[in-house]
Amino acid sequence: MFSKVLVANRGEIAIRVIRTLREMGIRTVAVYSQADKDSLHTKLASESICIGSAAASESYLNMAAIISAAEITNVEAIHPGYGFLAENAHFADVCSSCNISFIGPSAEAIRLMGDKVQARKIMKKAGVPTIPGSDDVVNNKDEALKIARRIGYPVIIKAAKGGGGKGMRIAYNDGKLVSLFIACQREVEVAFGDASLYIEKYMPGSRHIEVQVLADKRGNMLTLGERDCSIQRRYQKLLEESPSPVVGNKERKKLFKYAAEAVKAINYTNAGTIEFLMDKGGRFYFMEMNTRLQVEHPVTEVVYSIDIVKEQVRIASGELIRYSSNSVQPKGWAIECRINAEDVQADFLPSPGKITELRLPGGPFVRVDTHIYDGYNTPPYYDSLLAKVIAWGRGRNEAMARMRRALDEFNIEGIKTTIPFHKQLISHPLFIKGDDYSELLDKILVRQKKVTGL
Amino acid sequence: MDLKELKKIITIFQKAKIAELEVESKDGVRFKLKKEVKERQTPPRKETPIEVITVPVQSSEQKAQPAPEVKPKENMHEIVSPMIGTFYTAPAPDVPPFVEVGQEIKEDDSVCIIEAMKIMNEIKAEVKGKIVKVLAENGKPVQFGQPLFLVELSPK
Repeated sequence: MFSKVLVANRGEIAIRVIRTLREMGIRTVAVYSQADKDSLHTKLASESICIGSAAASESYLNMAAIISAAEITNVEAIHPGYGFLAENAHFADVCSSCNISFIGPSAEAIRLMGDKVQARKIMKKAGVPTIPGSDDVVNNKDEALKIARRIGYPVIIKAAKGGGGKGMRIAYNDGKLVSLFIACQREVEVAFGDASLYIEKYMPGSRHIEVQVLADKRGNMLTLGERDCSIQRRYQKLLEESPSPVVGNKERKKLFKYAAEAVKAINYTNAGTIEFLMDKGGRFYFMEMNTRLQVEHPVTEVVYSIDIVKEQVRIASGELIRYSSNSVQPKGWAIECRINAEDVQADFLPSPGKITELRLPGGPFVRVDTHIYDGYNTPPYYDSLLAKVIAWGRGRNEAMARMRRALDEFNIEGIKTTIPFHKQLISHPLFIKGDDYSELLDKILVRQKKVTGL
Repeated sequence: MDLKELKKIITIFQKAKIAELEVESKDGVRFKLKKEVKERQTPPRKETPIEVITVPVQSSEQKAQPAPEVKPKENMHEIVSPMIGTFYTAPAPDVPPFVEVGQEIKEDDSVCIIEAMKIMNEIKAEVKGKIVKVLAENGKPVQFGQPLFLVELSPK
């Protein structure tokens, strides 16, 4: 087992990872940019070290600085958190060549699944159904048109080396496809350094269902249920829940089988998430695989009573999964709300600033993962996530009621937040019904416009 | 009163444990000296800023002389580390260090090496002046932004 680990991240996830490491008796090193010198994660680690100026490229994305910090503090492993370098295969390689364990999958697995076109090919070969679309990279607009006519409009153009919803465009006809294809190539080249695109059928109204997996170095594997992350705005998840209200038991069995095949197909190790789309007919299609710990992992943790970060650390240090699939059973229902520093009336414009008053929710079966504190100045250089509120209940109704109560207690003054938005979300009849979210966000935002007259 | 006498008075005042001194010379120059006197019996350091309040004088021919400027802290500059790594004062072991205390430096001079991931990065002074103090320890890690050298800047 490692005796000292560096956490190459910031904010709520750095704290979350540090907490588990401390519970395991492992010494921790926090890294921070100059903008984060008053950040909470630096106070909770055994040591903290400044690695660069505010910009992410100078600090949290700065591999040389992070490796340097790791060498100076003599750590045995690095946990990358999510985002930043978490899915950077080159970084995983560098760690390895410096004899530092990367707490996550192999560089090879990251590289394979990081290429979304490769990932689709591999899954198809493994017998996992994939979203209808191009078999390979689409090189020009003529190929694009051929594929679109084969699978039928609407289609969505995506970046092969992409992620995070960037560079994705929907085309409803030939004309749009051609112009968007060219625009996408440019955008994607800038964002990811690679202009390769692929095309999939666009299936509006499908649900985003993902499966959490854990695999050790001997090939033992656990599927830790599914999460429904269908409520998104511009491809950013707002709310997640486990289990999914629209997945029946029979479908679930099939879903887990596909997930297991995916893991086997690439000899995956450590924690990962396989994302599927579920169409209105209840059929699943592989979309992509995320080779890292995800933001919404707490939802799975509270339903399965398993510390996923602890398992990541154990697996990385060579230990085996000590649960058998039978002994791991889900219990109850969990919902997570991602609270951001955003001005909903101003089209969710980021709203950094000083928190002048703070009251965090608490109480039975409520978990809050956050880095904010009373008087904290949220820096403008990073994402706008303030806190994740997770509520567990014996069933969905209890979980919803508990979330309602928790959000009512949650008070942040000094900056604009999405707490009021989430309050509306969690009480909306469409959310409560749970089977069709296609109009949910529009209805809430329209109501907001009516109220404010904007 | 001439400048020499004024300087003498100021020197005496600096050393003495008085907070305020008002002086009127025979030729009509009047001035007041003020400084902070600490409780402890330590002599005031050279750098203690002294407020000199000059009082305009009757005779137009005798202008109040401004006191010679006590060295303010504005021309002291810290060279800070532009990266995280290990600080080395010399280009190699058993070789003299890049700079020493008292040495004059120019903007393009290398002052030290910061090693990160086996790459030796030579750090430039980027200022012109004199090394007053080495603030980091040879062979020890330094963080981004950590002070490395104290430099007295050359006047422009």
